[in-house]
Amino acid sequence: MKKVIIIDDEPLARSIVKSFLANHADLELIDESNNGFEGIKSIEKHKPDLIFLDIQMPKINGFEMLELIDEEPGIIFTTAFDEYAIKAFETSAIDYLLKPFTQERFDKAIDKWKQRNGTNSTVDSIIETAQKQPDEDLRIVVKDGSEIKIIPTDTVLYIEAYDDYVKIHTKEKYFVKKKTMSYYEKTLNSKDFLRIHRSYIININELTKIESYEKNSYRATLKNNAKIPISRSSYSGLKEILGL
Amino acid sequence: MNPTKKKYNAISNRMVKTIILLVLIAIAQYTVLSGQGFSNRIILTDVISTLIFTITFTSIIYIIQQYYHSKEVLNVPNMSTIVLFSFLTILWSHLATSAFAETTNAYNDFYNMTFTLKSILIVLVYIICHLIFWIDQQKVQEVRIQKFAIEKEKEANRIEMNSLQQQFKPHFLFNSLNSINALTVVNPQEAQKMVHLLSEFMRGAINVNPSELVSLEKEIHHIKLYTDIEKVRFGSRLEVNYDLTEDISNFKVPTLILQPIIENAVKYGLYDNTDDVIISIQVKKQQHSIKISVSNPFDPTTQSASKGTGYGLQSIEKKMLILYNQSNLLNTKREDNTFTTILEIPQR
Repeated sequence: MKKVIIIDDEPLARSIVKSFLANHADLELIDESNNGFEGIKSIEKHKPDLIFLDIQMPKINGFEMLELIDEEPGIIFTTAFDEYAIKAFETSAIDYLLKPFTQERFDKAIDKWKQRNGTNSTVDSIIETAQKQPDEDLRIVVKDGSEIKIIPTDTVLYIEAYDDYVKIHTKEKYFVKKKTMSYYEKTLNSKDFLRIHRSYIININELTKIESYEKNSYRATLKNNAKIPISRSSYSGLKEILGL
Repeated sequence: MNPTKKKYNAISNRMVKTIILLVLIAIAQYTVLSGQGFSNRIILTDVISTLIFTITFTSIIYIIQQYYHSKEVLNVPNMSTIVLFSFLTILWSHLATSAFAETTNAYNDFYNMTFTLKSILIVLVYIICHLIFWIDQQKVQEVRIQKFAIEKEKEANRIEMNSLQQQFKPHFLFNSLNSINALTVVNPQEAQKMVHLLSEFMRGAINVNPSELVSLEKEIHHIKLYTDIEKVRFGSRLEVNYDLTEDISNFKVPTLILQPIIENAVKYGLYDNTDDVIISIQVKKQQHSIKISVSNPFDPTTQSASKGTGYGLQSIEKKMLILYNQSNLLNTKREDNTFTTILEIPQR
């Protein structure tokens, strides 16, 4: 028996998946969640083989939820209409169900998942392309111990590279997230954020001072007194943005 | 277009009136000269030549205003033109009189004596004509600019409103259809009810004239269909409270004006919270308007401060501006965990 979890904020949307699932004797529904927070807890607790995942959900959407789980189960996305997400799906091998869907379409998605043997090789690429949703530009979702934090991007001071991770610095503390610098360089609003070094992206609104530091190199000081090196190649770009 | 054309006619009338004024002045001049006992020939030549020149020069001033309307009423070029025309009028009318009639010493003395007064009077006549023409032209220009701006704005908004309505919120539609899909399996009777709700709602949203005023009762009915559909979708998580103590059948509101506000409240209420959500809709009568408040819970700690009022609300602001010519009718308020949108709708 394979374990299945349904994550969707609409009860009726869950019930139709549940009734279609009843026709698959080899799949057992072990839990239902009505938002991403519950979803993470449920996934960590039950370690399912397959999840049905809605995209638009309260607080954090389906993609943001996936960023926060360590071991990805098999995923079948279910969504009504999401132009950003659908574009991402169409270019990938992973299956998604467009609401409303039929039992036949549902069965096909299950077959496809079985053939893939539970792997989601392209999920990461979907998340990367689908992530430019309007709401997400304004927040970063992180895991802080067992808690999930939503950080509005205007409260981010700077982002620092940290091996395979990044440190997202805010006034109170920093959070670690498994993402690349180039991802944030691409997705954060370029009016507010600028990459000034291979390892640093700063919030331009936090900048208080640029000073020369040792020979031929510069250093930025932020409102919280953090001192951040500026690479020679990005110094001219920074000067241009500040209108110097 | 019609009022502008009327304005042009009014200005041609203005020229006719000016000529009548100049003729009246000429008659006055004739009377004054007759009193001095000059020969009829002298008087007529003087009066007619002066009249011909004043009519010619006022026409030129009129034409100048039509084609070179200045921003300031009496700038240097305008004043110079007036002074030049006055000088030419006096000089040429005097020359004409000398050429066509035998002038007497008495006439020459009178001419010399009244020269300054005559000059001042002629300058004044030109200035007055110039002022009248300038003001007329100024009005025409203002009307033209205003009309152009209004037309452009109306056009832009018509396009925007149409596209907004045609957009038909596919997310809402497909999710509702998905609920119906589920209900046909779990609760067929409820499915039928939902199909009815959705059809009624769509009927109300298509084929509407965006600038039409409808009764608040009709608008609230439309909103209720929407919130009822959302309540089926979200089950016990969503509660919508209507506080309609006023008699709402007599109030007039722009059609579909509340829809985006409620949609926003439901969307932000449901997607910014994981708990149950209560949306409150309240109507209050004011002296010359009604005030409709819609509030929803929100989480101030996760919302960006920079986040605006949203696309839907901007379109309402524009629509209200066009329909009522007032820009402060839509307001939003954040209090603790409650976000309130307040729309004031003037009543005649």
